[in-house]
Amino acid sequence: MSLPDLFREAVKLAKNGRRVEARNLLLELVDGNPDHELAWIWLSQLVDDPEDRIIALENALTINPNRPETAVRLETLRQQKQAREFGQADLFQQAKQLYRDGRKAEARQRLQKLVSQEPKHTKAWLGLALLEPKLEDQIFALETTLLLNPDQPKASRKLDQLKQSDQIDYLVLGKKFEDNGRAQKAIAAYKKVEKGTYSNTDKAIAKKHRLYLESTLKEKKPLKFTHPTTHLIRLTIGPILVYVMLVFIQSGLNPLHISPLLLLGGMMVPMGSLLLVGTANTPHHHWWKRLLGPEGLAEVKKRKMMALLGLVLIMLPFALVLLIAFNRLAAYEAAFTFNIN
Amino acid sequence: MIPLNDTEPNRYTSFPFMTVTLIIINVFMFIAQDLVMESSIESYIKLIHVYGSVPVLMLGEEGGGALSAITQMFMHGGLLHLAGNMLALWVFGRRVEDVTGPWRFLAFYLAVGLFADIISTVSRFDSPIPGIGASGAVYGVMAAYLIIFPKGRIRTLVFISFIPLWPKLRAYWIILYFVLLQIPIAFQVLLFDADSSVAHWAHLGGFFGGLFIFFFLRPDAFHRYRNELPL
Repeated sequence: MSLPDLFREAVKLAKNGRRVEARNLLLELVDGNPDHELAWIWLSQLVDDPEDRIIALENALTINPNRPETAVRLETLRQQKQAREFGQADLFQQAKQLYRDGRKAEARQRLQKLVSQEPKHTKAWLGLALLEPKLEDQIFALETTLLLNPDQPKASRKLDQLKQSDQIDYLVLGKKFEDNGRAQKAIAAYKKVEKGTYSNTDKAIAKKHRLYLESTLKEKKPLKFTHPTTHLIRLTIGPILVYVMLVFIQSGLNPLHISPLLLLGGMMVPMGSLLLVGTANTPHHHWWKRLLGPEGLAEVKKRKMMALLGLVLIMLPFALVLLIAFNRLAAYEAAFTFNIN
Repeated sequence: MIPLNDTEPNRYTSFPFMTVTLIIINVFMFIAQDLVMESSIESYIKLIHVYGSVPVLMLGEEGGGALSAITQMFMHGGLLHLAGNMLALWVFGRRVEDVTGPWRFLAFYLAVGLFADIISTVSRFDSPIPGIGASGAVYGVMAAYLIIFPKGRIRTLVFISFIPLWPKLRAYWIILYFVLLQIPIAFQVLLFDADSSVAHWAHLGGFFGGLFIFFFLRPDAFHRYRNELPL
């Protein structure tokens, strides 16, 4: 594939929502042609890490300093980064203060929030290792700290100390590692369950998980992840499909006979479905964060309200089509009675 | 060949709430139909015509339209018809419900039932005879089962020279057996106007409607399916 073809293909993929494939093609392209300004600009929109976005735009601006849009976007990203860092620093300070005040549970909550926002925050992980009440969580936090920065002798010593304890539930620890994509650590934990004094059920569970992880490592088959947008669209289509079929049947299988009222309903169902599906399945989706702020969907009340609104938006058009059908059915039933008599 | 039970355990839920609810609704509807029939045969005929799916009425924009398309799914022409459909729904519906969740399962069930009705109506567009039964939707559920759990082990009653046996058979043998049975008769009905009191095209329509299952799977089940992990 020639250079322009490669670029065109990547843009096409990106426009079709196949971000990962587009990103891989563009990475391949800039690897061989680091002066391709447009490739860097497109890449800046396809990489997930905000830091990588900034680097891509900086590269594009170095190649062509005369494109004001790039400069403006870069500035916006830098400001966002600063604001994020400020927010994170604030959270960390709050956690520190709460810890000093003896409010350990609240301090822990702040740190948990911080690592969910910034999983590479070593200090937050270290803090969590101190504050987590469960041994398994402490070990996990220390392992993560050492993974991010192996040069932490205190953390390393503390971890060795904790590992001496016979109170560790390695099944819980294994699952924690597995959930966080650290297969080797999870396998080691499961092996300890299999060899330890656990119940037969626990041993069977650990073996099942270990064998599965080993097989995935052996095959080296990367997991295919479905983008949240694809999930949203996939799940949104369900109610639309049912509605479209009902309307189609009601109109005598003739799309030209569909009444405008039912067409209007056809717009409400996707909206309601999107709301309902979004609130129920992808609370971390960036659309929802944009809609309600980063914390919006963490609020159960707000989420329930949105789900309810979605449900009403779905149910109204369904009720309408069934009401229209019922009226026609009643008229036909009356006529049918007349025919029989 | 009669499928009796799915021998594989569920992953996400323990009780198939929606499958059981659908079976109960179908049974109640059948009892109601029976009561109407006992009161008078005219009332029963009227009931079937009004709440069943009549192709000439649907295409002529008369009768219950969308409402009848739903009610016909919950009516049956006899005890054997009901028992066959409900047994299949029980056998194949439980694990399909497990990977969709109850409400998405209901939406899927209705979607395939409606799709089957559309296909059946198109295949006999000039017929004034009402069509009833959950078969279309049940075939859709069977297709979904075939897609998701092709190797599921189903306890099945088979007779070999009048000797009853109940081995565990792979789901694909049973489901393909039932689908392949439909194809020659469906084409005889379509091409040569052969008489048949069974809506074979509704069965085939429902079966192909089973592909809709991809829109109704739980996110985690969809992820496992994509990665060829055990569901």
